[in-house]
Amino acid sequence: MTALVTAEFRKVLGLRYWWILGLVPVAVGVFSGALTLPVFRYLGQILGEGFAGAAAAAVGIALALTLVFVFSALFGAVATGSEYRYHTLATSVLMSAGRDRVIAAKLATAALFGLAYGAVVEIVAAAAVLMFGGGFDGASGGQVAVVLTVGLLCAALWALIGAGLGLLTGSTTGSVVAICVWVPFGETITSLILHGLDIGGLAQILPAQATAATLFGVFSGDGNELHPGWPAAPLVVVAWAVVLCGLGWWRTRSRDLI
Amino acid sequence: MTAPSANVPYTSSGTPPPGIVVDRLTKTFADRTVVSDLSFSVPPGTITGFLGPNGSGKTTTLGMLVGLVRPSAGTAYVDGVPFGSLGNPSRVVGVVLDARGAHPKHTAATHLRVYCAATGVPDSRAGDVLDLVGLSSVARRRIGEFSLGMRQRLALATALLGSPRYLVLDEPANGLDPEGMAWLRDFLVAYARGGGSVLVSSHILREVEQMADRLVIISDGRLVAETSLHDLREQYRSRVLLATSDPVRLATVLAAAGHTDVQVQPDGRLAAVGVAPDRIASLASDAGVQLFGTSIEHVDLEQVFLAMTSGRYTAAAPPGWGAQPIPTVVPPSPTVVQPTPTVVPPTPHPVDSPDPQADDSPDPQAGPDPGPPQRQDPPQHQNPPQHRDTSQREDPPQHRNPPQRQDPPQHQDTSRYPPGVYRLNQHRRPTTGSGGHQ
Repeated sequence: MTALVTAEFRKVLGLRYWWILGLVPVAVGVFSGALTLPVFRYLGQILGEGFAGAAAAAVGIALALTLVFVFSALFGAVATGSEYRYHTLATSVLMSAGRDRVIAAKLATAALFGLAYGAVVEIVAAAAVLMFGGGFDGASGGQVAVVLTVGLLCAALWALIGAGLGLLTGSTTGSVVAICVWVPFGETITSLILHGLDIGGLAQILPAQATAATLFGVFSGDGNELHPGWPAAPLVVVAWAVVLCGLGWWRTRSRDLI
Repeated sequence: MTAPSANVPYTSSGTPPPGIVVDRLTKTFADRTVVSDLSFSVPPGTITGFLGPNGSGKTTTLGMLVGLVRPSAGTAYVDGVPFGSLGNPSRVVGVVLDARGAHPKHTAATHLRVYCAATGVPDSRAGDVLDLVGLSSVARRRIGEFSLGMRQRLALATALLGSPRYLVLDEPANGLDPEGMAWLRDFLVAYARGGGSVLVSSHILREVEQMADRLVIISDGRLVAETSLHDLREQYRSRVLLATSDPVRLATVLAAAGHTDVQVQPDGRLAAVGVAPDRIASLASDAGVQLFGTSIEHVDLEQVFLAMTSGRYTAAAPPGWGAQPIPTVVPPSPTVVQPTPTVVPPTPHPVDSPDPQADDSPDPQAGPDPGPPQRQDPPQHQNPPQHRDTSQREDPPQHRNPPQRQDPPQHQDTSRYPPGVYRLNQHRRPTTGSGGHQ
């Protein structure tokens, strides 16, 4: 299995998209950290002491993390969808013992890259807050660490969501478009429709909202009408990853590869 | 030619033998069956040509063999186990099914190092196989810049990473230039001599004719023939056409010398199978029989293959195509093995036959040729009048009065010779002296 993961890493690192996709959230992480803290410090003068640091940690880094989740999903979709586009999945399957091991290696690679994206962006964003804002006023190191850890988990899960989608559709373009449309627009529209139908509770299990609840609810714990609480929220995100990876796995196992 | 493999699944009749065994594979897409109950084997140490027209199911069959296509029924084995059960398949079977199976943005070296890791061989193996296929100089170039022939070589290099003992290649000559095809042929022959086994598909028999030991021919997803190339050649042997002063005597002389497969043609010439022209000339000279002309008719195995199979995708001839009659209709004249030195009664010879379908003389009224002659090799069409003119000029009088047909139907074995399988040899060597084969 290690050999196959090594092969998948070589496959990815031999191309450029992995760092291009990682570059955007890093850049956003720098600017979000640099910009949000002064803004919230200004608001802190109105809302009270201690607000600025906590808000910067929660919002500034979370903004960068939100982009990391999206780009992790895009990475996963490109990594798996391009295997079909360029007919390389068949080559990989022929060089290894069965499809299951190849699929597992691909998903593991996607998750690891998601973790790496998250780690790099969190480090950069946190460093920007420290450098430009002077530190996390009012937030303990433990709280920051929890936020960052949850962010890492979500980045890996979103990479798996993208990879599962790529395996399921067998299309890079379709998967990327689906992610780019769903996260900013599709889920919001769907959520509004569900609330309009008076079944807004269902909107809580949509992936982006569950992810937001995972991040923002890490300390409050309790859910509400808009967001599920802990541990339901992260479990919903995990469920999305499991479902999409499972479907992608099943599709890849059952389809003809030539 | 052997019969198709017995349709007894190995799962119920015991352990499959070594080598590659395809056992009753069937593949159905929706309501369309593209491979039907197909069974054949590839013995170790052989090169087996897997032939069939476009759309006959070759790629699907190979895909099922290596686990890329799920069979609707049947199983395939490599050394007794299904491909999917091989511990490290790339060490056992090298597969080239699609030359596109590489990311165009990868360099050749990167591509191979990816699969070095997957196969568990050292990275230095990438350089070795690049040397082997002649791509060392472009190791750092992106695969997207490669020609199809270079991609074929790279795909072969990938298949060779694990030093497998079997190679399964799907139309590997596609995109190769003549030099590349010659290289591939030599490489595969050397690979087989080194103990490897090759299953190579093609829709052109000539591509594999020079290297294959065995042939598996399919048409429309079904097995048509599984045979050795030697057996196929034996069944469709070349024959020597002899214009002689005394056909009966020459036939008797040949038979006495053990060459009993001799037949008198309608034009009076003798057709001898299994004996070299020089040997005939020697025997004729010894017997005092004059030879006026000798020509060799080779069986065109490509035509045999085409006659066995039917293309799934065929188009009507363009307007005007075939308006002129093809001048050389090579005769599907059978040879009959005679156990005793008797003269075989003549059989219809299209060159001189009154049968309009078999007549190769120019006929301005003739329309497009409906049958196998359309599949004649173009070069054959260029010089045939010479053959006929030469024979007319040199044939002795008895050729114009051929022996009366005695009982041709029972001597004909046309089933052995699909129409148009003979290709008249390029050279006719007229002789004028007694026994004067030159």
